Amino acid sequence: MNNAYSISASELYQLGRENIPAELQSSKNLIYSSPATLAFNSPGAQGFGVKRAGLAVPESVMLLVSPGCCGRNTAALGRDRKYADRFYYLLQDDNDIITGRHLNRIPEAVKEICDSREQRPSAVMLCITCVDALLGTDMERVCRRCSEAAQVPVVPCYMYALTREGRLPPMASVRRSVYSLLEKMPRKSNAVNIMGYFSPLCDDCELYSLLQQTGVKHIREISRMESFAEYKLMAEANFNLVLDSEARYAAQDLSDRLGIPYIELANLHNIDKIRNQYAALGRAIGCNFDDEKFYNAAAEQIRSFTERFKQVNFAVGEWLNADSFELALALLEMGLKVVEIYGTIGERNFVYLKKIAALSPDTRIYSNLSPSMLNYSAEKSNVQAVIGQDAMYYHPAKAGIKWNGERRQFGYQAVNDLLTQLTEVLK
Amino acid sequence: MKKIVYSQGISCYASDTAGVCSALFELGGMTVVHDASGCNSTYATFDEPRWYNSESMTYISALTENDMVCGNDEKLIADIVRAAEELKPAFIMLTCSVIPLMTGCDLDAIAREVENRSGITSFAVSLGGLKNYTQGMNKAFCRLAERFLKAPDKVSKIPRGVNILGATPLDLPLNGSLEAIKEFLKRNNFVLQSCWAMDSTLEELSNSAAAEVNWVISSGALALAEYMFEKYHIPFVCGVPLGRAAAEALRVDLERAIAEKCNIYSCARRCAAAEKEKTAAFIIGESVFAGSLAYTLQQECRWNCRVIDPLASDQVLLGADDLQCSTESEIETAIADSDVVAADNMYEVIVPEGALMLKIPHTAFSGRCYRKQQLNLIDRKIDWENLLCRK
Repeated sequence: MNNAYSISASELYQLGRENIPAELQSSKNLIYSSPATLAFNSPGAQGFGVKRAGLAVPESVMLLVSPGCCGRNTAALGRDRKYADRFYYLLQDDNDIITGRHLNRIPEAVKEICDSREQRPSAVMLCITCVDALLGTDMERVCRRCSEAAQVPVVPCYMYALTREGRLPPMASVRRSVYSLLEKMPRKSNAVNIMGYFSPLCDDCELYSLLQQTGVKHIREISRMESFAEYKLMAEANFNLVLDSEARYAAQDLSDRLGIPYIELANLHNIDKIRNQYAALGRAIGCNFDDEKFYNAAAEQIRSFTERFKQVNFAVGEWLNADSFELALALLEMGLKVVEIYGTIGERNFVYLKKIAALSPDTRIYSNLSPSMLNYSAEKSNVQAVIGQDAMYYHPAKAGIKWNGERRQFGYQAVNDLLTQLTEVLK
Repeated sequence: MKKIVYSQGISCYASDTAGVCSALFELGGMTVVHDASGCNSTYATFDEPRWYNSESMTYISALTENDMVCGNDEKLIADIVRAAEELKPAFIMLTCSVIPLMTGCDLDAIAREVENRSGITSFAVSLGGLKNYTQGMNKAFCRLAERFLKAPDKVSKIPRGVNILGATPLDLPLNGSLEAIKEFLKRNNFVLQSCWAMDSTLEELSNSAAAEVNWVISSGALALAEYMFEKYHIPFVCGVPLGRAAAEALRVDLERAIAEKCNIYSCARRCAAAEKEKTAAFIIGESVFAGSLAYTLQQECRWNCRVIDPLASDQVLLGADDLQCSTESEIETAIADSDVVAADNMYEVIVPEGALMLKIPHTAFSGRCYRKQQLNLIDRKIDWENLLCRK
């Protein structure tokens, strides 16, 4: 047994959703800042955080208004060709924070930025931090003043780490920001937006072909929009498909402002549930999807993988492109063994625990964020293969895949890709 | 015209919270950053190369909006005490981001309460992430010294004993530079007593009064040196043995400081004759390092060198003609007519066309960006001209 805090799936399920132990709740402990917690500590350090996400609007630039400590690591992003020359900084000091005088400098700074560029930016994304959250800055008003001064759209991006576990966390808020420049235009029945991710789905994801079966000709994702003009065409979508719940708020905003309805799909790894979800989507839009070949291919891959690796003890982390508990359950339902899960259990995913407890009652559940994870010992664990970058940190010597790449997998294609990658490292 | 925008191409220096965490990383204590998560993540992912390969009890309090608005110090205290009871750290250091600073959170009082409840030495540094890393280091080292240094009468004096002050990966690349500094001491018959704070235990640090001289290699430890001088009359020398010239000068200065019990700011020394040289060189960076490099380049290359200190260091660390400026436009203006600029790679965007650049990656500035290109310049013959590149 490890010295880090853990609890079995059956014990946790018996305690119930209302009695999750404090050790598993990030709000009731110090947070252990290990490399495994990077996704929690700094979503922007790898992948997309508010700053990088805000620049999803083509031809936009960002002005970061913050104390130095908040914007410093953006320097690493500036080396990426896609972001070079798009970040500007306006530092706040003690005086700014006490007097709020920086608010008067922001419009001047925005104008200065726009005037200094050979080509005017499509928009200036104004990124602000917890400091202005606490000051109660009316950033919408500041943005209006900036727009008047510089004659470009200026959009707030709230990098409020304090609201991370609140109703509107920063990554949900920034999604609304990046779609907020869309303006009402006639909708086209053959246009659909895929929302949720800041990088495109893999080209071989079946979702594209399934939508095309129904006559959809324009499938737009913000990350594939090369120009601002192209981005603006996202407003002609007949409906939005939301693949990440953090985009729900943005989709609702588009529904309210532009009248574009949205349908939310979950990121699932059980192929029967994937099939049911596509069937439900088909019903919602009034057509039938033929997903037979995708389903059969995934089923065959599952059969062959399970046959080879059903004795392997897997661990599933949470720094990956999936919900730890949903993925763990999917693996168990495939007939595989999951002995450890490093994840955050809560209202959203407790639903998976009942079946995990039934299929694998002894699966140990850890919280990456618990200070006791300092004592986690891979030697005292019987894990043989891992999924997730955090899990790979705990088990550097074991076969593992990060499963957190920027190109996003989804549906049957995700299952196929997951098992292919695992086969590669296990063989 | 002074620009409104602080910068476009360059970064800013690591914050005080990073300085605190880095200074105490290896000492077996628990460092708690009272913050939602942002400050600490920048430190962990950008500024701390040891983060992936060694474990340290560096935690964040995961401050929430509710706790910030309503105040909930009891939760912070209870969380720290519970974690400390389990993990038994040698000490507890609290530091904070800008939010607790704005709400007037009394970290010193919280530290006292934590110490009362846990029985573990606890202290705090509340700079709020608004200052630079050297100020965080200075505060952290001083707090540690105040609580752990043994008085000289409790330790045996070590002849030619030296404490290295200010060693953190923020300034010192993990590429053999620290080992080269230790070798420099050994080669010159000095005895290393302790190194604040890499590769030394808390026990070794607590015996620092046994040394005859303190050797400050970063402005992030000047306050500690001054504290030890005032309290224990241990003299100090400030400089980094870069190349051959600065190394030789430092050897002499260390000997002299021991013999004469005087403090010597080697990094502020400049060669008067070099002012007549034609090549105008600017060295941008942390003042102890930059000043030492300026001296060496004056001696070895015959350049007219001036330091630009972006960290608002104590003036005693600078030469008479050195400059202090911090924003991109100020620095760009200052170096507009330079022939050579020695600085972190990230400054390249403001180096004037046609000037030569000596790129010296500095973790406290560019973080992990150029870590693989970091140089070991300690106590060795270096072909400086060969390191120059044209912009």
